[in-house]
Amino acid sequence: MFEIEEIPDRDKLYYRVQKNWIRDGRILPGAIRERGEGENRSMSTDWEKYSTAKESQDRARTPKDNTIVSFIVGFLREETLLVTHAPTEEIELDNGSTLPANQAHTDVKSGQKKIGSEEIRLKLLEECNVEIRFEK
Amino acid sequence: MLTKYTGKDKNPFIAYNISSGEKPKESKAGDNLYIWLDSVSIKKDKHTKFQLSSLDEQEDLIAKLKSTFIELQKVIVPSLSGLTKEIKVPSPAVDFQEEIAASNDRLKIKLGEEEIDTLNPIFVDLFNEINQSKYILDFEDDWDEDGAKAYKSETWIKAVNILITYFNSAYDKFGEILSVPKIYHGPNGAIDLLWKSKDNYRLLVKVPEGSQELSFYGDDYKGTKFEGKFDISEDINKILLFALLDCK
Repeated sequence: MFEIEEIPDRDKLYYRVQKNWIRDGRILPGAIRERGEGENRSMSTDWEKYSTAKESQDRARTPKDNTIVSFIVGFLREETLLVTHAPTEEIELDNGSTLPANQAHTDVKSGQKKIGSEEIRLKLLEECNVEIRFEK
Repeated sequence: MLTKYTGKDKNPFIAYNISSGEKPKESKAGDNLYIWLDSVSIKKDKHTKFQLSSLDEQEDLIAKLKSTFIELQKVIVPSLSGLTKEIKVPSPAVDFQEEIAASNDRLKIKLGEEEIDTLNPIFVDLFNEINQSKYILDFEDDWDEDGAKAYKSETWIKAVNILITYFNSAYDKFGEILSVPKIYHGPNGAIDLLWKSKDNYRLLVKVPEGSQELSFYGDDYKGTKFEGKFDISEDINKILLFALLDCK
Protein backbone atom coordinates (compact mmCIF):
# COMPACT_ATOMS: atom_id res chain seq x y z
CA MET A 1 0.00 0.00 0.00
CA PHE A 2 1.34 3.41 -0.95
CA GLU A 3 1.19 6.20 1.57
CA ILE A 4 -1.07 9.08 0.56
CA GLU A 5 0.96 12.27 0.74
CA GLU A 6 0.23 15.99 0.73
CA ILE A 7 1.28 17.53 -2.57
CA PRO A 8 3.03 20.92 -2.29
CA ASP A 9 1.65 23.85 -4.27
CA ARG A 10 4.90 24.30 -6.15
CA ASP A 11 4.90 20.78 -7.63
CA LYS A 12 3.85 19.78 -11.13
CA LEU A 13 1.25 17.31 -12.28
CA TYR A 14 1.45 15.64 -15.68
CA TYR A 15 -1.68 15.24 -17.78
CA ARG A 16 -2.09 13.24 -20.97
CA VAL A 17 -3.73 14.84 -24.01
CA GLN A 18 -4.58 12.40 -26.79
CA LYS A 19 -3.55 13.70 -30.23
CA ASN A 20 -7.13 14.09 -31.46
CA TRP A 21 -7.55 16.84 -28.87
CA ILE A 22 -4.87 18.83 -30.67
CA ARG A 23 -5.60 20.73 -33.84
CA ASP A 24 -3.20 22.89 -35.83
CA GLY A 25 -0.72 22.49 -32.99
CA ARG A 26 -3.15 23.82 -30.37
CA ILE A 27 -4.60 21.91 -27.48
CA LEU A 28 -8.38 22.26 -27.56
CA PRO A 29 -10.49 23.32 -24.56
CA GLY A 30 -12.28 19.98 -24.73
CA ALA A 31 -9.09 18.22 -23.67
CA ILE A 32 -9.60 19.55 -20.15
CA ARG A 33 -12.13 17.12 -18.77
CA GLU A 34 -12.95 14.69 -16.03
CA ARG A 35 -13.34 10.97 -16.48
CA GLY A 36 -15.16 8.40 -14.38
CA GLU A 37 -18.46 8.51 -12.55
CA GLY A 38 -19.73 9.77 -9.20
CA GLU A 39 -17.10 10.20 -6.50
CA ASN A 40 -14.45 8.77 -8.79
CA ARG A 41 -14.97 11.48 -11.38
CA SER A 42 -11.71 13.40 -11.78
CA MET A 43 -8.93 14.53 -14.06
CA SER A 44 -6.34 11.80 -13.82
CA THR A 45 -2.77 13.14 -13.48
CA ASP A 46 0.68 12.00 -12.37
CA TRP A 47 2.69 13.75 -9.64
CA GLU A 48 6.20 14.66 -10.68
CA LYS A 49 7.60 13.28 -7.40
CA TYR A 50 6.99 9.73 -8.60
CA SER A 51 6.79 10.06 -12.37
CA THR A 52 8.58 11.71 -15.23
CA ALA A 53 6.66 13.16 -18.15
CA LYS A 54 7.89 10.28 -20.28
CA GLU A 55 6.66 7.69 -17.79
CA SER A 56 3.30 9.44 -17.76
CA GLN A 57 3.18 9.25 -21.54
CA ASP A 58 4.08 5.56 -21.44
CA ARG A 59 0.99 4.84 -19.31
CA ALA A 60 -1.27 5.75 -22.26
CA ARG A 61 -2.80 3.03 -24.41
CA THR A 62 -0.78 4.34 -27.38
CA PRO A 63 2.01 6.43 -25.82
CA LYS A 64 3.27 8.05 -29.02
CA ASP A 65 -0.24 9.42 -29.67
CA ASN A 66 -0.23 11.45 -26.48
CA THR A 67 1.10 14.88 -25.64
CA ILE A 68 2.04 15.44 -22.01
CA VAL A 69 1.29 18.79 -20.40
CA SER A 70 1.91 19.91 -16.84
CA PHE A 71 0.02 22.05 -14.33
CA ILE A 72 1.35 23.71 -11.21
CA VAL A 73 -0.62 22.45 -8.22
CA GLY A 74 -0.87 25.90 -6.62
CA PHE A 75 -2.62 27.27 -9.69
CA LEU A 76 -5.17 24.46 -9.67
CA ARG A 77 -5.92 25.11 -6.00
CA GLU A 78 -6.23 28.86 -6.61
CA GLU A 79 -8.97 27.97 -9.05
CA THR A 80 -10.68 26.00 -6.23
CA LEU A 81 -9.89 22.60 -7.74
CA LEU A 82 -9.17 19.75 -5.32
CA VAL A 83 -5.80 18.05 -5.76
CA THR A 84 -5.44 14.71 -3.99
CA HIS A 85 -2.66 12.17 -4.16
CA ALA A 86 -4.39 8.91 -5.11
CA PRO A 87 -1.79 6.20 -5.77
CA THR A 88 -3.14 3.04 -7.33
CA GLU A 89 -2.11 -0.55 -6.69
CA GLU A 90 -1.67 -3.13 -9.43
CA ILE A 91 -5.05 -4.12 -10.82
CA GLU A 92 -5.90 -7.36 -12.58
CA LEU A 93 -8.19 -6.70 -15.53
CA ASP A 94 -11.00 -8.91 -16.81
CA ASN A 95 -8.97 -9.95 -19.84
CA GLY A 96 -6.24 -11.37 -17.61
CA SER A 97 -3.77 -8.55 -18.10
CA THR A 98 -2.68 -6.27 -15.29
CA LEU A 99 -2.67 -2.52 -14.89
CA PRO A 100 0.62 -1.66 -13.16
CA ALA A 101 0.66 0.17 -9.85
CA ASN A 102 1.08 3.95 -10.10
CA GLN A 103 2.39 5.74 -7.04
CA ALA A 104 2.26 9.06 -8.92
CA HIS A 105 -1.46 8.96 -9.63
CA THR A 106 -3.23 12.12 -8.49
CA ASP A 107 -6.86 13.12 -8.78
CA VAL A 108 -7.89 16.65 -9.68
CA LYS A 109 -11.55 17.14 -8.87
CA SER A 110 -14.04 19.96 -9.23
CA GLY A 111 -14.27 22.35 -6.32
CA GLN A 112 -16.43 25.47 -6.21
CA LYS A 113 -15.63 25.73 -9.90
CA LYS A 114 -16.31 22.73 -12.11
CA ILE A 115 -13.60 21.22 -14.28
CA GLY A 116 -16.06 20.97 -17.15
CA SER A 117 -16.97 24.66 -16.91
CA GLU A 118 -15.92 26.98 -19.69
CA GLU A 119 -13.97 29.13 -17.22
CA ILE A 120 -11.80 26.29 -15.93
CA ARG A 121 -11.29 24.81 -19.37
CA LEU A 122 -10.12 28.17 -20.75
CA LYS A 123 -7.85 28.93 -17.81
CA LEU A 124 -6.23 25.50 -17.56
CA LEU A 125 -5.59 25.57 -21.26
CA GLU A 126 -3.70 28.83 -20.88
CA GLU A 127 -1.73 27.70 -17.85
CA CYS A 128 -0.52 24.28 -18.96
CA ASN A 129 3.00 23.73 -20.24
CA VAL A 130 3.75 21.22 -22.94
CA GLU A 131 6.35 18.72 -21.72
CA ILE A 132 6.32 16.15 -24.54
CA ARG A 133 4.57 16.37 -27.89
CA PHE A 134 2.93 13.40 -29.56
CA GLU A 135 4.75 11.82 -32.48
CA LYS A 136 3.43 12.89 -35.87
CA MET B 1 -16.35 64.18 -53.01
CA LEU B 2 -18.80 61.34 -53.39
CA THR B 3 -17.50 58.12 -54.78
CA LYS B 4 -19.71 55.28 -55.65
CA TYR B 5 -19.25 51.89 -57.18
CA THR B 6 -22.05 49.63 -58.27
CA GLY B 7 -21.45 45.97 -58.91
CA LYS B 8 -22.86 43.85 -61.65
CA ASP B 9 -26.56 43.12 -61.74
CA LYS B 10 -27.73 41.49 -58.54
CA ASN B 11 -24.22 41.46 -57.13
CA PRO B 12 -23.62 43.25 -53.88
CA PHE B 13 -22.13 46.63 -54.34
CA ILE B 14 -20.22 48.91 -52.17
CA ALA B 15 -20.74 52.60 -52.06
CA TYR B 16 -19.18 54.96 -49.70
CA ASN B 17 -18.95 58.57 -49.01
CA ILE B 18 -16.23 60.25 -47.10
CA SER B 19 -18.18 62.82 -45.30
CA SER B 20 -18.57 64.37 -41.92
CA GLY B 21 -22.14 65.24 -42.80
CA GLU B 22 -24.76 64.54 -45.35
CA LYS B 23 -23.15 66.51 -48.12
CA PRO B 24 -20.21 65.11 -50.00
CA LYS B 25 -16.97 66.95 -49.61
CA GLU B 26 -13.28 66.51 -49.99
CA SER B 27 -11.90 63.93 -47.63
CA LYS B 28 -9.39 64.56 -44.90
CA ALA B 29 -7.94 62.77 -41.92
CA GLY B 30 -10.52 62.27 -39.23
CA ASP B 31 -13.40 61.96 -41.64
CA ASN B 32 -15.77 59.08 -41.39
CA LEU B 33 -15.91 56.52 -44.12
CA TYR B 34 -19.36 55.03 -44.46
CA ILE B 35 -19.72 51.74 -46.21
CA TRP B 36 -22.99 50.35 -47.39
CA LEU B 37 -23.45 46.85 -48.56
CA ASP B 38 -26.69 45.94 -50.14
CA SER B 39 -27.69 44.13 -53.25
CA VAL B 40 -30.59 46.41 -54.09
CA SER B 41 -30.14 49.88 -52.78
CA ILE B 42 -28.22 52.05 -50.44
CA LYS B 43 -29.83 52.14 -47.05
CA LYS B 44 -28.59 54.41 -44.34
CA ASP B 45 -29.23 51.90 -41.61
CA LYS B 46 -27.09 49.28 -43.29
CA HIS B 47 -23.77 51.02 -43.18
CA THR B 48 -20.60 50.32 -41.32
CA LYS B 49 -18.64 53.34 -40.21
CA PHE B 50 -14.90 53.67 -40.12
CA GLN B 51 -13.05 56.73 -39.00
CA LEU B 52 -9.76 57.32 -40.68
CA SER B 53 -7.02 59.13 -38.86
CA SER B 54 -4.02 58.30 -40.98
CA LEU B 55 -2.99 56.88 -44.30
CA ASP B 56 -1.84 53.74 -42.51
CA GLU B 57 -5.34 53.20 -41.24
CA GLN B 58 -6.64 53.62 -44.73
CA GLU B 59 -4.31 50.88 -45.93
CA ASP B 60 -5.53 48.64 -43.10
CA LEU B 61 -9.07 49.30 -44.16
CA ILE B 62 -8.30 48.40 -47.73
CA ALA B 63 -6.82 45.12 -46.55
CA LYS B 64 -9.92 44.49 -44.51
CA LEU B 65 -12.15 45.19 -47.47
CA LYS B 66 -10.14 42.82 -49.58
CA SER B 67 -10.47 40.04 -47.07
CA THR B 68 -14.11 40.66 -46.27
CA PHE B 69 -16.02 41.37 -49.42
CA ILE B 70 -16.49 39.04 -52.29
CA GLU B 71 -17.90 39.38 -55.76
CA LEU B 72 -16.62 42.90 -56.00
CA GLN B 73 -14.59 43.69 -59.03
CA LYS B 74 -13.06 46.80 -57.60
CA VAL B 75 -13.24 49.11 -54.67
CA ILE B 76 -12.74 52.77 -55.09
CA VAL B 77 -11.03 54.15 -52.08
CA PRO B 78 -10.94 57.86 -51.56
CA SER B 79 -7.49 58.89 -50.55
CA LEU B 80 -7.00 61.33 -47.76
CA SER B 81 -5.72 63.86 -50.23
CA GLY B 82 -9.15 63.92 -51.78
CA LEU B 83 -8.19 61.94 -54.83
CA THR B 84 -9.61 58.54 -55.53
CA LYS B 85 -7.86 55.39 -56.55
CA GLU B 86 -9.23 52.10 -57.75
CA ILE B 87 -8.13 48.84 -56.27
CA LYS B 88 -8.77 45.47 -57.74
CA VAL B 89 -10.27 43.11 -55.23
CA PRO B 90 -9.27 39.51 -55.82
CA SER B 91 -11.66 36.69 -55.15
CA PRO B 92 -10.98 35.07 -51.81
CA ALA B 93 -8.69 32.06 -51.96
CA VAL B 94 -11.09 29.50 -50.64
CA ASP B 95 -12.12 26.05 -51.70
CA PHE B 96 -15.77 26.86 -51.87
CA GLN B 97 -15.80 29.07 -54.91
CA GLU B 98 -18.71 27.28 -56.52
CA GLU B 99 -20.75 27.73 -53.39
CA ILE B 100 -19.85 31.39 -53.20
CA ALA B 101 -21.20 31.81 -56.67
CA ALA B 102 -24.56 30.60 -55.47
CA SER B 103 -27.76 32.22 -56.56
CA ASN B 104 -28.66 35.55 -55.03
CA ASP B 105 -25.12 35.79 -53.69
CA ARG B 106 -25.99 33.92 -50.53
CA LEU B 107 -23.37 31.47 -49.29
CA LYS B 108 -24.89 28.04 -49.00
CA ILE B 109 -23.91 25.97 -46.01
CA LYS B 110 -24.28 22.34 -46.90
CA LEU B 111 -23.90 19.07 -45.09
CA GLY B 112 -23.64 16.51 -47.81
CA GLU B 113 -26.40 17.41 -50.23
CA GLU B 114 -28.56 19.01 -47.54
CA GLU B 115 -28.61 22.80 -47.39
CA ILE B 116 -28.41 23.80 -43.75
CA ASP B 117 -28.65 27.54 -44.09
CA THR B 118 -27.42 30.44 -46.14
CA LEU B 119 -25.15 33.31 -45.20
CA ASN B 120 -24.77 36.89 -46.24
CA PRO B 121 -21.59 36.96 -48.36
CA ILE B 122 -19.99 39.50 -46.06
CA PHE B 123 -19.60 36.61 -43.61
CA VAL B 124 -17.28 34.69 -45.91
CA ASP B 125 -14.72 34.11 -43.14
CA LEU B 126 -17.40 32.54 -40.96
CA PHE B 127 -18.49 30.48 -43.94
CA ASN B 128 -14.95 29.17 -44.37
CA GLU B 129 -14.62 28.31 -40.68
CA ILE B 130 -17.95 26.49 -40.70
CA ASN B 131 -16.84 24.43 -43.67
CA GLN B 132 -13.50 23.63 -42.04
CA SER B 133 -15.29 22.49 -38.89
CA LYS B 134 -17.00 19.66 -40.75
CA TYR B 135 -13.98 17.55 -39.72
CA ILE B 136 -15.81 17.10 -36.39
CA LEU B 137 -18.35 14.85 -38.05
CA ASP B 138 -15.61 12.51 -39.33
CA PHE B 139 -14.75 11.19 -35.85
CA GLU B 140 -15.88 7.65 -35.17
CA ASP B 141 -16.63 6.11 -31.76
CA ASP B 142 -13.56 5.83 -29.51
CA TRP B 143 -11.71 8.46 -31.53
CA ASP B 144 -9.77 9.48 -28.38
CA GLU B 145 -8.94 5.88 -27.37
CA ASP B 146 -10.90 6.57 -24.21
CA GLY B 147 -14.41 5.72 -25.29
CA ALA B 148 -15.48 9.08 -26.74
CA LYS B 149 -18.51 8.84 -29.00
CA ALA B 150 -18.86 10.24 -32.49
CA TYR B 151 -20.35 13.73 -32.78
CA LYS B 152 -23.92 14.11 -33.92
CA SER B 153 -24.71 16.22 -36.96
CA GLU B 154 -27.62 17.79 -35.02
CA THR B 155 -25.15 19.27 -32.54
CA TRP B 156 -22.96 20.68 -35.30
CA ILE B 157 -26.01 22.16 -37.06
CA LYS B 158 -27.16 23.68 -33.78
CA ALA B 159 -23.77 25.35 -33.33
CA VAL B 160 -23.84 26.67 -36.90
CA ASN B 161 -27.34 28.06 -36.45
CA ILE B 162 -26.33 29.82 -33.24
CA LEU B 163 -23.37 31.45 -34.96
CA ILE B 164 -25.49 32.61 -37.86
CA THR B 165 -28.09 34.03 -35.48
CA TYR B 166 -25.54 36.08 -33.57
CA PHE B 167 -23.63 37.23 -36.65
CA ASN B 168 -26.86 38.38 -38.27
CA SER B 169 -28.04 40.07 -35.10
CA ALA B 170 -24.78 41.97 -34.56
CA TYR B 171 -24.81 43.10 -38.17
CA ASP B 172 -28.48 44.04 -38.33
CA LYS B 173 -28.56 45.88 -34.99
CA PHE B 174 -25.10 47.39 -34.82
CA GLY B 175 -23.63 47.16 -38.30
CA GLU B 176 -20.81 45.07 -36.86
CA ILE B 177 -19.22 41.96 -38.31
CA LEU B 178 -18.26 39.74 -35.40
CA SER B 179 -14.88 38.11 -35.12
CA VAL B 180 -14.97 34.56 -36.39
CA PRO B 181 -14.46 31.90 -33.70
CA LYS B 182 -12.69 28.61 -34.04
CA ILE B 183 -15.21 25.79 -34.12
CA TYR B 184 -13.87 22.73 -32.31
CA HIS B 185 -15.09 19.41 -31.02
CA GLY B 186 -15.74 19.65 -27.31
CA PRO B 187 -16.31 17.34 -24.36
CA ASN B 188 -19.12 14.76 -24.24
CA GLY B 189 -20.38 15.35 -27.75
CA ALA B 190 -20.51 19.14 -27.40
CA ILE B 191 -19.20 21.70 -29.87
CA ASP B 192 -16.91 24.45 -28.56
CA LEU B 193 -16.81 27.92 -30.07
CA LEU B 194 -13.61 29.73 -29.13
CA TRP B 195 -12.86 33.42 -29.58
CA LYS B 196 -9.39 34.33 -28.47
CA SER B 197 -6.98 37.18 -28.82
CA LYS B 198 -3.72 36.97 -26.93
CA ASP B 199 -3.87 39.44 -24.02
CA ASN B 200 -7.15 41.06 -25.06
CA TYR B 201 -10.01 38.63 -24.68
CA ARG B 202 -10.97 34.99 -24.56
CA LEU B 203 -14.46 33.61 -24.81
CA LEU B 204 -15.59 30.01 -24.86
CA VAL B 205 -19.12 28.92 -25.72
CA LYS B 206 -20.24 25.33 -25.35
CA VAL B 207 -23.04 24.01 -27.51
CA PRO B 208 -24.06 20.77 -25.83
CA GLU B 209 -25.32 17.58 -27.39
CA GLY B 210 -29.02 17.07 -26.76
CA SER B 211 -29.65 19.90 -24.32
CA GLN B 212 -30.78 23.34 -25.43
CA GLU B 213 -28.83 25.01 -22.64
CA LEU B 214 -25.83 26.89 -23.95
CA SER B 215 -23.09 28.01 -21.55
CA PHE B 216 -20.32 30.54 -21.96
CA TYR B 217 -17.46 32.23 -20.15
CA GLY B 218 -15.23 35.06 -21.25
CA ASP B 219 -12.80 37.56 -19.79
CA ASP B 220 -10.17 40.11 -20.74
CA TYR B 221 -7.42 38.31 -18.79
CA LYS B 222 -7.94 40.93 -16.09
CA GLY B 223 -10.93 41.84 -13.99
CA THR B 224 -13.68 41.95 -16.56
CA LYS B 225 -15.51 38.69 -17.08
CA PHE B 226 -18.88 37.50 -18.21
CA GLU B 227 -20.50 34.12 -18.02
CA GLY B 228 -23.90 32.59 -18.24
CA LYS B 229 -26.23 29.88 -19.35
CA PHE B 230 -29.37 30.24 -21.36
CA ASP B 231 -31.85 28.32 -23.42
CA ILE B 232 -31.07 28.75 -27.09
CA SER B 233 -34.73 28.52 -28.02
CA GLU B 234 -35.26 31.87 -26.30
CA ASP B 235 -34.35 35.29 -27.65
CA ILE B 236 -30.82 36.41 -28.33
CA ASN B 237 -28.85 36.49 -25.08
CA LYS B 238 -27.81 40.13 -24.75
CA ILE B 239 -24.84 39.45 -22.48
CA LEU B 240 -23.38 37.03 -24.97
CA LEU B 241 -24.11 39.36 -27.87
CA PHE B 242 -22.33 42.27 -26.19
CA ALA B 243 -19.47 39.97 -25.19
CA LEU B 244 -19.11 38.96 -28.83
CA LEU B 245 -19.23 42.58 -29.95
CA ASP B 246 -16.37 43.24 -27.54
CA CYS B 247 -14.21 40.50 -29.04
CA LYS B 248 -12.48 42.71 -31.55
